[in-house]
Amino acid sequence: MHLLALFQWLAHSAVGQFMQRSQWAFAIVETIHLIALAALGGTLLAVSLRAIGLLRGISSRSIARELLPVILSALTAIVTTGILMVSEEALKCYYNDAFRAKMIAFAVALLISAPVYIAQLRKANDQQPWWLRLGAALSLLSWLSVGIAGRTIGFL
Amino acid sequence: MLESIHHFCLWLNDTAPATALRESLWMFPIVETVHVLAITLLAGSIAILDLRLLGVLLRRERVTTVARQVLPVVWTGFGILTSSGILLFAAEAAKSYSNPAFRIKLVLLVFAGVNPLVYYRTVYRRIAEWDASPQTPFTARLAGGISITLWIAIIAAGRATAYFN
Repeated sequence: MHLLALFQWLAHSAVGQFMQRSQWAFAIVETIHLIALAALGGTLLAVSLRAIGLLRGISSRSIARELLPVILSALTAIVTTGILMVSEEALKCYYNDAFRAKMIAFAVALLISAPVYIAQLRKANDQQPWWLRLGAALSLLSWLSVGIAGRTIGFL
Repeated sequence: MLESIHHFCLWLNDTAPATALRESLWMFPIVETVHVLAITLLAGSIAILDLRLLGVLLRRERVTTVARQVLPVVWTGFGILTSSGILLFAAEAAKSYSNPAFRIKLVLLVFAGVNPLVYYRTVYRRIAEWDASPQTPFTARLAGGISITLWIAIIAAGRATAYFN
């Protein structure tokens, strides 16, 4: 199992060792993870609801373009803090079904939302074809499932 | 005053619905998950308006247009957060009363409520003058900066509440 080796390496890495020894690091990192979640969720929601055709104040292309830096920064922060948290309890995560479900949902969410987002950025007019609305709705659902699976990790 | 709040918390904690929620296998985690995820609706959406007030994002859009775009989501989030929050508090009222992080969170929430009230009663009254300008008046920027800071602090205090419980 190559993946298991990756998790073992992460647990033994300098970062993993630091996270495991520090008393406060996990709590701080988890709080930043949650703040990034709020930023990512709120901005993705604004862009997706606009793509679906609800809330038509700002043009769909301009909201997608303007919020892109926030989305990318929030995504960077959430992935970085996520890796840090995994490094604290790598093997626990590896064998946690909710964690596995979350990683699959995360991959699916990226695969769905990236092309939908790019299509929205490139759109010349302000019409929302059915496939773009559907894509935006599926993207929101996939991110919601990432969130639900993420919260479940702690319950298992 | 504090004594009667304490008694209220103890009474609430022992009511039948609060006890049922506290002792439930699935309901408590479900309500907690709803509460955590709904923060994206409120804090994440209000941050877009705050960043417009600060002149960081959507500078070419009118402030009122951005507000119209995000406020329905913000109010939806507010409704979900308040109702799920009251349920979570009721289930753990006795513990929450003495939880320092929870006390800080409640104070921050009061500030987060007062901030927009002040904003709408002061600088917003002259919105027609600065609605379309990328650079908003200092008071508006102040309101945006305070709002974004408060919500970050509220999320941190909310997370810390569970660590202290």
